[in-house]
Amino acid sequence: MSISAITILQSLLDAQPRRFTTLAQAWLSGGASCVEICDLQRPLARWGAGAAGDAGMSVLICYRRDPVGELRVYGTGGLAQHVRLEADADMIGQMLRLNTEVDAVTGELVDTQDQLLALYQINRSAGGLLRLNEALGLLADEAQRMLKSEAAFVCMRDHGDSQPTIYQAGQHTEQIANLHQQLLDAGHEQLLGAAELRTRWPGIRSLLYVPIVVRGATISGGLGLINRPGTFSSPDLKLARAIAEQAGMMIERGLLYQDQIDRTRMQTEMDLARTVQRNLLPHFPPVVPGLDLFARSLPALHVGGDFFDFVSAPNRPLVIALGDVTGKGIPAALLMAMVRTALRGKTNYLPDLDPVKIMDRASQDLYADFTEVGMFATVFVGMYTSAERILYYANAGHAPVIYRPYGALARLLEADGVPMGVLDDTLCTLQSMPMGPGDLLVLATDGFNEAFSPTGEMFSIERLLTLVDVIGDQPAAEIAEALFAAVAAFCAGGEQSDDQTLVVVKGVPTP
Amino acid sequence: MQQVSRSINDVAVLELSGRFDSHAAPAVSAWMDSVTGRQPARVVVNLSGVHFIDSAALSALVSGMKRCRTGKGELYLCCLQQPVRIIFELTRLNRAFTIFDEEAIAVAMLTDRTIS
Repeated sequence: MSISAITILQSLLDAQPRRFTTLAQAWLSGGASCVEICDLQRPLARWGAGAAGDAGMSVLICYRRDPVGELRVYGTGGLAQHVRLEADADMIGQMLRLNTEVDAVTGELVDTQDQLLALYQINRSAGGLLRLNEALGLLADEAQRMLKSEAAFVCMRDHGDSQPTIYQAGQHTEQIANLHQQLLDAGHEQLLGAAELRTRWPGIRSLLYVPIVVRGATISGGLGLINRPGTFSSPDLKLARAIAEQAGMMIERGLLYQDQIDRTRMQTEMDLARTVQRNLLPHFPPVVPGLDLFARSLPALHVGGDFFDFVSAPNRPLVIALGDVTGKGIPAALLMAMVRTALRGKTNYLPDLDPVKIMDRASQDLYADFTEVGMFATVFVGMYTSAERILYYANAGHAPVIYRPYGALARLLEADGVPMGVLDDTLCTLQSMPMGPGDLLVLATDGFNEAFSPTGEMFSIERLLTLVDVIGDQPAAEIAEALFAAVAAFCAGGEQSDDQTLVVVKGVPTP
Repeated sequence: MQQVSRSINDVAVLELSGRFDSHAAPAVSAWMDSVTGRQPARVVVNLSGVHFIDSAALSALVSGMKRCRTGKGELYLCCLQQPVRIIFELTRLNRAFTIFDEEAIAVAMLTDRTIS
């Protein structure tokens, strides 16, 4: 008989005294002198005042077939009474079984409630921690406490990383360092006892490991618990699963938060880059006798490589530049700033100013950089003197450049040079066009002619030429507004995929 | 976009078809890297199936051409469709590249070319 069995019988007597009294009274009123309930060594309860010499009957009380005590009745006898005594002993056995089952169910309910409370507390305290490492550290602490283990750890490995990250609570740092990788690689639940562990990891008597599943991420992880009094049991496994599920949700939440931080940071940097880029462009065109000037750049969602510039100084010709660096994003924006700076530098300091010279010197300066990043830029450089009313220009692969002489049709001025950064020389030659009253020059970037309609049709250079003929007699600002509006209407509110940059140069009578 | 590569008389030929844009350019650049590792690299890019080309694609071709020339090799283009030819003419990249109407001629010119 086990100690616990004795305790069970005594517990039942303590819990149900009135039932036993009723049972004893029934015997006593039927003529019995004394009723006793004993364990196998000593009486636990007695009713009646029977003498020690009275004849009696005794029947074993069994709990799940194991004898745990006796029911004794004195001062009565016979077969019928013996059968009745056996029935009573059997009933006590049934009561013992029911009582222990109720105790077990109650215990499980209490445990479950405790576990739910603990999980709620984990969730509540970790929910406030936005940093994943703090939340997982706390979770390891709580898992160790709840499962009464000597150590607990949460390990996590991104598939891109070779080394997992470990959050640990309690002892056995060295053993955890040795075993976590193997457990992660195996990737399944493990509930191991001393016999299985002795040869593998000395010092570890019991181990419970549950994988952590992170949905929608290339991350594997696990929750491990080491050494608890006795061994880890099935309820421990259930609790560990619940904690691991909680950890999975925490990791998902943490990754989402980190992703959000990264996006915000990137967006802030992009916004800053756009602001810098916008500030590099002239806010207003210069006032030049004989010219009506207008320029604007409408950036797409991301920073791009479009730019325009006007450089004018007293007793120097006006220099107009417009270009488009291939590609998008920060690299294009950086290179665009470099092209602008190189062109400005040549314009300000070269003697005997000439667009071809400006273009070639700037191109030579930047050729190695263009080659390094695998990009190039189409660039138009024009130079105008009010005295001559002629615009000299060099065109390194840029299109569209549209010229509409007063009273004639608009036409495309094709480039003769290759873009900057393709060869070490742009091969540009010096060209010119009259810029008298009514003459019109429209410089645009491919964000205009390569804008697409919702049906996939391209705006095209032909449409630009037709439009310039229709609106060409208006002032520069109105021509520009009409061109921007026409392209926007053509795209019908769709997202602008590329920068749209425009410079309109119109000859007007000299005051 | 689809890309098919072959080697003819020690000339690496890449035949492209479809839309040659910023999405397709990295794969072409990777192919260029693989064939320009051996010098002098002789490369022909056949654009017969390409109906659209953007600036990222042009950059990939320009970079490939520069790498070939750095190693005393050469990159030729052939079989440009009209919309693609117009882009090369507008940007004047037709002055930087050597362009042929037929792949066989481009390959033959590279095969016969004396590498200096």
